[in-house]
Amino acid sequence: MGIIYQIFPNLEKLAPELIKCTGQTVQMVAVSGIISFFFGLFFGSLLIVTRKGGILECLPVYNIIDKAIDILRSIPFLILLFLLIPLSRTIVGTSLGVEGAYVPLIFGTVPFFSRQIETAIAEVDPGLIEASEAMGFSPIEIIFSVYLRESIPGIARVSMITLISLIGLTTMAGAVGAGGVGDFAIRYGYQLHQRDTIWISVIITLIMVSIVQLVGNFIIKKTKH
Amino acid sequence: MIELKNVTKTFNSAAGNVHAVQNVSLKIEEGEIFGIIGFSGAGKSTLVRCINLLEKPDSGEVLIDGNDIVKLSEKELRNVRRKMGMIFQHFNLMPSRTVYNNVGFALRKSGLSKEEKDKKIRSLLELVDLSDKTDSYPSQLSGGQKQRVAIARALANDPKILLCDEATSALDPQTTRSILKLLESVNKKLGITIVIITHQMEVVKDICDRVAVMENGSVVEEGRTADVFSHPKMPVTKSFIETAGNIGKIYELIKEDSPLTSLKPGEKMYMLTYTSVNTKDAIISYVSRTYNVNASIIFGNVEVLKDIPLGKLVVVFSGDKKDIDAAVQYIESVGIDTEEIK
Ligand SMILES: Nc1ncnc2c1ncn2[C@@H]1O[C@H](COP(=O)(O)OP(=O)(O)OP(=O)(O)O)[C@@H](O)[C@H]1O
Ligand SMILES: [Mg+2]
Repeated sequence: MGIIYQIFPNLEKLAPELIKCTGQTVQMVAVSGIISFFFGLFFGSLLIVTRKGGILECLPVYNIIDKAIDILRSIPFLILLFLLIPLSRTIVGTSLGVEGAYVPLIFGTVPFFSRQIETAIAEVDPGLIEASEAMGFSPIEIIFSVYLRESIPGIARVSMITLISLIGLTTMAGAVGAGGVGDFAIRYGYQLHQRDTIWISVIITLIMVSIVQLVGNFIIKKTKH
Repeated sequence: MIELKNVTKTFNSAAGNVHAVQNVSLKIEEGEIFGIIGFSGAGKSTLVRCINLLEKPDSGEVLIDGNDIVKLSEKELRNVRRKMGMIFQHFNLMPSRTVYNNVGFALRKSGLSKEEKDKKIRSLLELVDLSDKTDSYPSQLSGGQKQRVAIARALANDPKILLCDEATSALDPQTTRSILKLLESVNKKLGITIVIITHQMEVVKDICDRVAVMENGSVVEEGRTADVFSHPKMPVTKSFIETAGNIGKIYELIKEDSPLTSLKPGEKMYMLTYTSVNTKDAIISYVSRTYNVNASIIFGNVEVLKDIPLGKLVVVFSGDKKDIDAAVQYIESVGIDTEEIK
């Protein structure tokens, strides 16, 4: 323990604060991650089934979602943070703190994730869809039992990537007052020139990313045959 | 059982319209194995997909047991499809599910209890001889085994019709044979009507009771397998026969002016085609003696179409033109088709 405190002289004093900030990051990632996950699956699947030749082909729906994703993805996250302040106030009642970060984080994640899900689901062999239709399954059954089910390894892979980029976004949200590890690094590392706290933030982030990757790879390995 | 009336399907694309199926009318009887043969792009897949409406015809009727299924709602159509199995060239098994669960997947809407499903799945896997692969994943199976799983899956809901789109095209000849045997036994044991789409002459030859030949979206010839292939009318049909047995080689050799097919003056080359079993080589020596012509057999082949043998002989006659003509006439008179090929 002694040597760790030697390398990171500020750790002992800031430990409670660090734990709090890590908790905030985990909370932001978990809440907006879970919500984004469902939205992403929804929009990704919707893109696949409404596209040309899809099992519920509907080009107007496809085009609207497709364009909306492109537009949202082209807005830099930092600008999105400010842009969505009124919306966040309407939905969660605040634009501050951890809660205030949810809306921009979700808006920053869902378009990217929907696109990734679309790509993952698009890899499902069209022959499987044809076979399922021939067996008399309805579009809803095909979405859940074939499209989503068969692309679990792909979904796990893109979820991993998205989660990692979401961790990155939370640190940016931290910069505008949402708390979390990013906030910690800015307050103590940047503003108070305690360089070791920056390294501590890096290590915490690395650990989180590694856990995500570990779990993701485990799921991929278990579900790929 | 299955009746198509004036079924037409056109695909519109930027490159122009493709008339994949044009005004096809067919009647497939209950319990028969019906083949649809044609070269690539002839419209076979589109036609068979019109039978379970995976492809909606632009016009025409698709009658299953007398009901036009084109008029059904999506929901009713799904019920009809459940009573029609389909197997594919590339098997289309779900990679994330075991053999057992692939078959079980088809039983989802069957309304059977868990125990009944289990019993059903096991008996189906026994039928296709895969009881030892229950817990394997498709990626661990050979092509023939995958197709067996696909057949078990297609039979899960006790269909009355089984549609096969190039079901053996990805398999080697021996595996093809075993899959055809299985289909034949399914047809006999369970009385299931089977529609087979193929570009492989062997498939039609082995198990089809009747066959339709397709070209450019139309059925150009149709009838009992032995009849169609013993007396082909259309050039497509003839070219299938040529590609099937080695007899087609003779045409190539003639084209290439091979020494084997070179004729001396006064010689004529004929192709003799016979289907009846009691036709024997004695006829050749008989005409040779009676009509004073020499006959040498340079090529011979017997195919078995379903159960009927189809023999082909390539014979070179030499002698007087008058004698040869008389000999040929005699051969024709005993029911053997003759064709002067050189
Ligand atoms: N979805 C589609 N869109 C446009 N054209 C199509 C479509 N499906 C088939 N076609 C065209 O229709 C024609 C018939 O195709 P089809 O697949 O029925 O032929 P096939 O006889 O099954 O050939 P193969 O032996 O190669 O499978 C082809 O020219 C093909 O390009
Ligand atoms: Mg085809």
